Amino acid sequence: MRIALENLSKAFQHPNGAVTQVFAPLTFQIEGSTFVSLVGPSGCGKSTLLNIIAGLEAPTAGQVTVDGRPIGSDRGRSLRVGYVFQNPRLLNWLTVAGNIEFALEATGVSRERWRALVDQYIGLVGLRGTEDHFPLHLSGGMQQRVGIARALAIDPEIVLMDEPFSHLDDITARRLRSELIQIWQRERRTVIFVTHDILEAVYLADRIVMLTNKPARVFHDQPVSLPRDRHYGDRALLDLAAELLNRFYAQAEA
Amino acid sequence: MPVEIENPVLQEARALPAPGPMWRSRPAIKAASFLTLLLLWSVISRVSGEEIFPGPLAVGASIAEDLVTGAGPGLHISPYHIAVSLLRILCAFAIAMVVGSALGVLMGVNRVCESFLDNWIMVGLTIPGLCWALIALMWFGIHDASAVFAIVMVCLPFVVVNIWEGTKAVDKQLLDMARVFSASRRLILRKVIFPQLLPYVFAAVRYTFSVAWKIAVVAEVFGLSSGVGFMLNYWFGMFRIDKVLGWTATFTLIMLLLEAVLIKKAHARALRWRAEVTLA
Repeated sequence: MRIALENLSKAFQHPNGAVTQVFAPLTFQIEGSTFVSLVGPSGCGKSTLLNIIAGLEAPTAGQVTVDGRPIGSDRGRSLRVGYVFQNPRLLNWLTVAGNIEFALEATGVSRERWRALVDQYIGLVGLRGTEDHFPLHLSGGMQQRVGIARALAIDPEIVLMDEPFSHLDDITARRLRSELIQIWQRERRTVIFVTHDILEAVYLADRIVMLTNKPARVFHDQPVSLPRDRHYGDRALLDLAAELLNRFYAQAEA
Repeated sequence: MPVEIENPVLQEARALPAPGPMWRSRPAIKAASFLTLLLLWSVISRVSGEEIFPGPLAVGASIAEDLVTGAGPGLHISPYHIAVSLLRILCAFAIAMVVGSALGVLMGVNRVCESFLDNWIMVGLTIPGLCWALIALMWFGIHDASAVFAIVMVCLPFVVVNIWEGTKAVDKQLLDMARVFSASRRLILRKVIFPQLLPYVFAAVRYTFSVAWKIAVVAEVFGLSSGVGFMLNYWFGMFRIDKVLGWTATFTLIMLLLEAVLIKKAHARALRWRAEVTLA
């Protein structure tokens, strides 16, 4: 599978008539089964980009294609998207299992498969035993695990993650990152992971696409070939993070 | 290999409710507070004289006589009047909830309706319940409809305001989440929107329930020939303070009981997901 953003642009009109260009025509491809990280400064339109891929927002111009076929509500091809949000966005009145079942029901998975899928993905994110708990009775890290399980359980063609660990304390965030990578290595799904944290991107991704400030464009595309089972202290990892950070500063000043 | 992590949070949750001493438990405090109320009543009654302010025992005996023998004015036995009042209240309650919820949702989702109805609601909230009771009696005469109409008019604006607020407070981020997972409209209504409205529905239910019977009594006192209000008016005319207190206490108790048994239980069950105890 190959996902292509073709000349994608998005503009917002303000009530006073002024127009903000969120991104300059944006073009790049994402190969299936890769873990791609989109890195850019806060407010550069990364979330808007994910929303367009998810079909929540329409682009002003351009299109997103999957294997050459455009996606969108009126275009026939829709993408089965698993979205992990910055806030977990769980339905707090449903139990942990109920939240995953909600996604399964929404995507039309037949009811007799729910039990097995819920069980499998709750186990995968290490939440066995919490099935009947309500989200507000869980810690932030556990809530985000539910969010990840919900996104993966629907067998998504693409997983979109929007700074999912940025609200967590550093220790929890690190543990969740390492678990996420273990899960990803087993399932090999296509992931677009948005972050403003370069070190996080280097730790997680096969490839890092770096965006400028608004109007965002790609200014650097970095394959990350570091072997898996990466560690935060690894020399090569830190060097790459430092290099990318320098590139970013150089670009910002230019 | 599944990622196994121990869940200290869960262990903590199981160990959490540490019971305090018996006398500080909630039911104990509540029972003590009720007994104190009765005690205060008797003391004040002793001081002021039984004929002006009969104590709880005298009032209890007096009302028990009415309820057991069914004695009372008019054609009907006493329990009949309680049933009639309750029926009027429930009827009006149902109408106010259904119509009010519909209008509230409409105002929450449609800006034209919101601006248009906004002033009407303000007017409705301002008109005193007593005025509605008088107007209703002049329009519908001595009829159940008078009481029902008055109650509906008093409660409706409040129900609307609550549901309207609830509809506006629906979390847009959750709607987006549901859309990403391509949830149908039905599923979104059932699992995303309705549960968010529920606390507002309960606020409206409790208010409506507590106000409805006050308005019912007012309408009955002024013009109807049945119901608890009618009994109050009759015994007022006879200057029987023990009966007036008795009927007041009886109906108050019935309403409190209904609230405690039905509404509070349903409320606790529906909102048990809330983070009264946040773990970790």
